[in-house]
Amino acid sequence: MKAESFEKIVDHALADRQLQVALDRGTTRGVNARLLAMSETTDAQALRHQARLARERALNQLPELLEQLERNIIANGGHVLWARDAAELNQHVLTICRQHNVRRVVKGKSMVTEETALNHALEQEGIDVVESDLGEYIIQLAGETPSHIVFPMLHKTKEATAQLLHDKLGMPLTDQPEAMTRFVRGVMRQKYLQADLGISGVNFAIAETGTIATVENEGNNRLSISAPPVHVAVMGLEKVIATWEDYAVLVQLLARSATGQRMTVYNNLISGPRRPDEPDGPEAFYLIILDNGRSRILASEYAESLACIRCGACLNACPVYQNIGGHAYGWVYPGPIGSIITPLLRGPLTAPKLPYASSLCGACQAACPVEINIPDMLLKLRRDLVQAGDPSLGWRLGMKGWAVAFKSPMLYRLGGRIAGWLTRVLARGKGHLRWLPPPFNGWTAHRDFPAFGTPSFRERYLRRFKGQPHDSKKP
Amino acid sequence: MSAREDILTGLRAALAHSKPFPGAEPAAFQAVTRIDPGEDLVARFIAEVQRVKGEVHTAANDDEALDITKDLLTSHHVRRVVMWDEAHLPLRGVWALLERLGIERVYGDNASVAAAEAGITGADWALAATGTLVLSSGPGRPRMASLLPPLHIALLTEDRIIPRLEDYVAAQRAARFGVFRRSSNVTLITGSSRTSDIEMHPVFGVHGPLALHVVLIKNLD
Amino acid sequence: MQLAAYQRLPPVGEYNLYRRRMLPLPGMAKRVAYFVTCIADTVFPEIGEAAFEVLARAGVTPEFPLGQTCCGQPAFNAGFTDEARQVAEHFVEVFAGYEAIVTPSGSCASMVKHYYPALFRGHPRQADALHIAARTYELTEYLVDVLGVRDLGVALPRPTRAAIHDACHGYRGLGIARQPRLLLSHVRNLTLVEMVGHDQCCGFGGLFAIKMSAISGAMLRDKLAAIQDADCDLVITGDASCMMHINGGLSRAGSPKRVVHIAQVLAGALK
Repeated sequence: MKAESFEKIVDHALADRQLQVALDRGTTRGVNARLLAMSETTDAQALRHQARLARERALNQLPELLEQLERNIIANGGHVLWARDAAELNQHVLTICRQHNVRRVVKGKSMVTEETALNHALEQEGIDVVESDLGEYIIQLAGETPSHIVFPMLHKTKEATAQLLHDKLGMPLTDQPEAMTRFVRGVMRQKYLQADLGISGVNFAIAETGTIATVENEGNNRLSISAPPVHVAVMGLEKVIATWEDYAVLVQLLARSATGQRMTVYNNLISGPRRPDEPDGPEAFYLIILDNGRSRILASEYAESLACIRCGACLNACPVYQNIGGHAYGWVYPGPIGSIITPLLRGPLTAPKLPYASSLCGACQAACPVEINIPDMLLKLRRDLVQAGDPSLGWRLGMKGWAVAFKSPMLYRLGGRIAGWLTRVLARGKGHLRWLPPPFNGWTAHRDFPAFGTPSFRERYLRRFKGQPHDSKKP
Repeated sequence: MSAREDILTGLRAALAHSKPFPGAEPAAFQAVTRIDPGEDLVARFIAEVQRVKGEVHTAANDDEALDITKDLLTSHHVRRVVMWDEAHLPLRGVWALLERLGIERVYGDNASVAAAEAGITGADWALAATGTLVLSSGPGRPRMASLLPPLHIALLTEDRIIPRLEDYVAAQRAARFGVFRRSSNVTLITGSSRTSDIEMHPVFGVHGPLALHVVLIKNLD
Repeated sequence: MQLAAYQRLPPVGEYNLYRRRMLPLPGMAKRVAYFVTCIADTVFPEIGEAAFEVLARAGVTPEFPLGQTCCGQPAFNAGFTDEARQVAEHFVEVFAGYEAIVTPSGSCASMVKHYYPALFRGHPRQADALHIAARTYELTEYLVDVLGVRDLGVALPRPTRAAIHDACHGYRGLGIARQPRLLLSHVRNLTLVEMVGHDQCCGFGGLFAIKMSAISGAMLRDKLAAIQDADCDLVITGDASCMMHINGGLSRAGSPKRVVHIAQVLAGALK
């Protein structure tokens, strides 16, 4: 996490009018598009389960599938490199750049390269790197980081985008996304043609033929991996899948969940470098497979998180994300899935607030095309934090006291009576309280608290059976 | 130990005692996109392409197809074209048409190809359910023809239209996936390039072609 | 015949101090336990009472095990598994052996159904915990799916338009959506309207509302705006905790609208 506390970042986000407008517009469109697209399938629930099983079978046989993938890529004339961590991946890319005398790199969208901060590593070696995805390019111009897995500039309004393009590149001011897009197209054209090397992420790697699949809409990814003479694809090791049938279901659920499309505009299927008889395409192809903590996750009870296909549906659906946006999550992966994989990849104590930044409402799980049970994993991460001694002494004592009271009917009744009496005194006959003492002032900061009803249900129940008149307290 | 050995050993250790998902049997395989029984695949394909802001021009025969192609090229003021070899197109006479119109056919490196105002390609297959074209790269079939120019004209005969992606995959499995050994790049194209990056508002025409025109030619009976 | 439910109850059975519950009455075919939940016992006893009455109306006379406290969810959701288990052990002690355990809360039912099996893995009371998890029902789920109830013969005192707020754990955890709508569709003088974001969390989340007060407050504001925009006089929900949270917000905002628990509607307890 950054030095600033999570609570501070959240407060800034909630007070940022521009961010709130952008989040409202963006996430509402995202949720509605997904709901419509999923409802138009043959059977959304059955398909989600089918997609889930495809991911589970792949994770069950990861080493075999990765070896098969590697064999097939080499047979197709490509190279496969392995990276234990972020530094090793960046080093591989730099080595490739040196071998091919690379000065200019053009890059398609890739979350893994955000994870390893590859752009920074390239720039330090004096290599010019340009993001080619429209949103990523604008983020790069602004010197910011993506705030969404699929829509990196979701935090920006069109007005702020126009201003940025005007300030940085002299675009005439406009409020038309069409005009901004056409402007960036013109700027980017030359960059593709001049680049010495193209980098892309990987959405799925199909082991049985050694094919990597990328999905995109803009054509930037296809240009980045087709125009330059060298193509480097980078993937987390969990991206491998067994069969083309699995690809068919996963890629379609990805499109429908991410953007509400039946298919994204371009599904690029790359099997190695250009063949000797082909007229174009890169002469060299490298695939870099990154671990960076993933094999550790596979061995843990959080293996399910590796099933994620990075569609971003859980972000749009999450009422927390809808309010605080992606940057508040503090690292590369935001939203509900980020609250899980950030502590898993970086260590639980690097982001101790994230597992608690959820009301456990389950909207993420309901939106997930591969049925990842995010709420349950958040609960387990909270348990891990408690076991690691993260909560304050006050919380720990409070919980111990709570357990003592609530496992004893006598103490429970006594506590209930005292609390009820206190709330009624503090409410002063108004039925609710506007203020509670710490630590409960968090409640009354935003809402009133009710005075407890009296007598308790238990007492009413007992009275009834003693033949006393029905005490019908009005609701 | 190399990174490769390290990682594979780690994964094997993680899976040594038990699989993380013991219940993961192969699923009953169900296609994603709905097609009604008896649905007209040609009509569906046309409707789906239009839905994603592509245009379909139907031609009853080769002469009509050449006329449509000519109109597209002239109305877009095309002077240079990057195209697939005629052997890979379902239509004879395109090359001659270009010569008649005085349109130059460009080849070679990216810089030359980038000057083309239009790309003309065929397609291996078309998927009715999603309005998707399947193009594989190969000799005489440059990738750039469907990618770099602002106008993409795809020539297609109706018999190439199959129901869905799942049917394409089944056909490739039957053919032992030879296409993925022969072609470094198979691309599924669904509409013209678009983005929703600015407030998730859809904009058509980004880095890929601004416009996609499919010339759909009837087969001889 | 209206609302004399309590008078139709059989006399109290013998109270077993050790097991802290009523013994079954002779001739009782099915032993159904009522779990009122700690919040409907102490904060909103009128909800506890209404739900009990609804069950009686439907012809079920549940036992009320007097030793009951809480399902353990507050500690469990905070990550304090050991503390949660201690309270859950008490729950299992109190509720073991019943044919059905009915509770007016989707959240508490979901805690028992979803998390007790794992919480008691390898525990001496594992069998009892599994038995309980399989037999715990949310109120409307029990009425519609188990008893087959549709019409409870209830009327509201005046024509009322109401929207439903689907409480998260019942809605997504237990799939409860059809049951409350079915029961409410038979309530006279009640017109149901759908609310934008009816299934969106109100931001309660237990300790989340205190620990992550700012985020929870922002979520609550979204919910209040949806209620304000909805063409309704009343909002109905199935969880007292969501009701407490949203009403706290409505009261703070000075809104005339209120949320009530579905049991209050079905018991004909609204005045």
